[in-house]
Amino acid sequence: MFKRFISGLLLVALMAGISPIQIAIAEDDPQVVTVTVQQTLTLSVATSTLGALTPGAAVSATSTATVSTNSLTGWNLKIKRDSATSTVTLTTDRDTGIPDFTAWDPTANGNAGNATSTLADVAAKFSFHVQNTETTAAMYSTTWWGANDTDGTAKYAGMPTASQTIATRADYAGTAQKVEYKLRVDAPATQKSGAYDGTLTMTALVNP
Amino acid sequence: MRKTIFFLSIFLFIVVWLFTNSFPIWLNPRTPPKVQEAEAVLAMPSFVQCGSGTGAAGAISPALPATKSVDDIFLLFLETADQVITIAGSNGGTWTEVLNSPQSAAGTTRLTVFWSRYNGTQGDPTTSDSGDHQVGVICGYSGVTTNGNPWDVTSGGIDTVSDTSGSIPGATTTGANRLIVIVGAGDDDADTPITGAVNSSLASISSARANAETSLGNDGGVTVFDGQKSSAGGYGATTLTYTGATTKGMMTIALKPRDPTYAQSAYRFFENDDSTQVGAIMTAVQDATTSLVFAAQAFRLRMLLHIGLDLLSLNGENFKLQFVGKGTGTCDSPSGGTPSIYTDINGATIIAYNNNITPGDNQALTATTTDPTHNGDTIVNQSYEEANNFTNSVARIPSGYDGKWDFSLKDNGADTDAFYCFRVVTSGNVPLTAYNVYPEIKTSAAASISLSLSTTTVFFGDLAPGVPNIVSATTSVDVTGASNGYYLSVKRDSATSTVTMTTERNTSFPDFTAWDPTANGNAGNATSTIADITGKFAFRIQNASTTSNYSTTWWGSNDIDGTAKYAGFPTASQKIMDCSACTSGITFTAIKYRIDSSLTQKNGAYDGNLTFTALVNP
Repeated sequence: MFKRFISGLLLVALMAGISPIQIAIAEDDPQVVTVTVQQTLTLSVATSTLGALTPGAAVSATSTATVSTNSLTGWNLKIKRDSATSTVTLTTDRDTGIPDFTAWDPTANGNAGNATSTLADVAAKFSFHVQNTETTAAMYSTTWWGANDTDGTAKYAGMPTASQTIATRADYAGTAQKVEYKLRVDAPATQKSGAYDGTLTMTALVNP
Repeated sequence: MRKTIFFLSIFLFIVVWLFTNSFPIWLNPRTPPKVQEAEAVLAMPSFVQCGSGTGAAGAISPALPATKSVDDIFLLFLETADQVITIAGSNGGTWTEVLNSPQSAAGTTRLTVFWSRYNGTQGDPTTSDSGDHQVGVICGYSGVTTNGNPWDVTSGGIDTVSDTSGSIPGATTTGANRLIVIVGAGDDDADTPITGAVNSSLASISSARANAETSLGNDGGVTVFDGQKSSAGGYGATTLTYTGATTKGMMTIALKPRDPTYAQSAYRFFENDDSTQVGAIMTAVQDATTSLVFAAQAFRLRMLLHIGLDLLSLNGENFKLQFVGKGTGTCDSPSGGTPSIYTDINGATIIAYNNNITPGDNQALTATTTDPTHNGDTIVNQSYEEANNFTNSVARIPSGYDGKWDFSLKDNGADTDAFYCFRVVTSGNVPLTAYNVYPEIKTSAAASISLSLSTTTVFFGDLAPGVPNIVSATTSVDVTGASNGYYLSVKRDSATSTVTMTTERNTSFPDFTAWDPTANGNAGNATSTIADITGKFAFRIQNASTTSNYSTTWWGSNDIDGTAKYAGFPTASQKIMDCSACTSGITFTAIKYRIDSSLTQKNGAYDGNLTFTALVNP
């Protein structure tokens, strides 16, 4: 029966004019491609102008640092003031500065930082706060800078003389990251009148 | 002084000759006679000699001719009183009765004819005793075929009316140059039984070659004549004039000439060409085996047949070409090949006739300077052949010359790496006289292909985002027996992207749009706009260093950015090069890899695999 079936199949095949089986003759060769994408990091910041300051009436200004990096381990943003005297000094008398609030130390209080949400603490002083509003969520630390930007909750710190981390993340971000910070200055009534300025240095650094 | 006058006279003669219309020095004929080329043409069979006739009441022993040579044909003519006679003693020879013998005039006379091919040692035969009497004579003929019966046709007639006039019916010869032997017998014992033979169809009818008579018994005698029939065809009745009134038995015997001999004498293989001309030579020297390069390859065989012994008249013989698988034997004695025996070639055999479009079968071939030759023999060009049978349809071939034929052939599914031999035989399957050479081919090796890459790793090294890196590599493909060439295709192995992050395989590196050679009406979808491939991985085939079939349509007319076209690696193999002309040997395809990273591409090591495939075109 099986033979009959095979014979029949052959006959049908022949009648149908089945073409001979073509055996493809080919050879494959694999090739490995390797490339190492180097690390990149770019930081851009803008100048902040606080404008005219009336002693006893604090003024503030916000600015944004934008960081792009392809780092897999993330990065951190540090800040420091360049003058050992104070963040801003009298343009015509560099020994005269507006007092800074206590320098930011992120390691203080068991890494909770030493920023304050008490406005009285930063009265008549130069201070700063990392804003919740425009800062990329992954970069914002509520422990360091308060749950929001509302005075009384928002935490302020003084500019350190040595770079201290103000924002950080430990993973890869496929897009540019923003850190918005608010500079706040208030002068005592005795503060010498005149123009004050100073420079801050922000450093973005990929995590090792 | 005499010398001066002599040279002055010569000078004047030359001047006058030059300035007086250069009167011809040679006057008659006006041009020197042309040297005529002599052709060795054997005549038709010729009469040599007859032995002495003899007659007796008992058995007789007619004498062989005194002059004779091996292969001469003897005809023994016997007359009896219409009684059966045989060869009782052959004396070392072989005697056979001739077709249409005997011719018996009832009760009175009978003509019986035997023939023998002289073997160089045989002696006079002895007949039987037929009864009343027997009389006979043996005549010898040279130049007769050495194969088989010596006659082409015979005819016979009787006449029971006793008178002096006899008529032998004619016959139709199948070839040229027949010697028609005419013999008549009667019951009359005249010294010259027959005085003359007349036949307007025959030339040069001889006088009586032999007379044999006896007065014993009822008397009897025979007379032998011959005439010539140079062309094939019919000859009419022959009229015999007897000396005395008698009844009669008569015959004509058309002796065939010696056959030309045919020998395969030389050959050469050529590339095919769609004309009666051939392509390039396939061997540096003639009479050499050639190897086909790829399957189904067409080729040409030009072969000489040396003609010996006799002229091969126009269309004188029908031949056919055969082939055999040589196997483990020789062309002369093949063993175990396919086919195992010499087989007629036709359009469907595994070595087949190749039907070229332009020339027709049997057209006159066009000779080349590289055609085979044979010991300086004159070559008589014949025909281009793409089917069996063939003949010398262009010109006759004199003895000592060689005829040349041109066979259009092809590998039609023959075994790979196998040897095949060729021979010519007559259309009646009779082998040629000699095969001094056998054309022989080796079919191509089984189609094979090997692919190698100049580098197994495309190493880009460190890639600074925004700054493209370039790496080049080359594929090397070695093919044999690929009648339609090969093509090269490529694919990436990862569905994610060509390269992915080594430590995080789902992190891709963007590829440019996957290559699709069929896009845009088979123009492909590569781009020449660099902005398109910015921040992506792309590749292209380079014009420079590519020795296979570079496609300007697919990859741009040159390698300069802005003109050069780039594509992305596809996930399924796609053709990137197709070279139908790359039938054998090594060809190269240069590949350029271009990778460019965006600023946000995760930093780190990436890798991936590509697979190149070289495939023989079907």
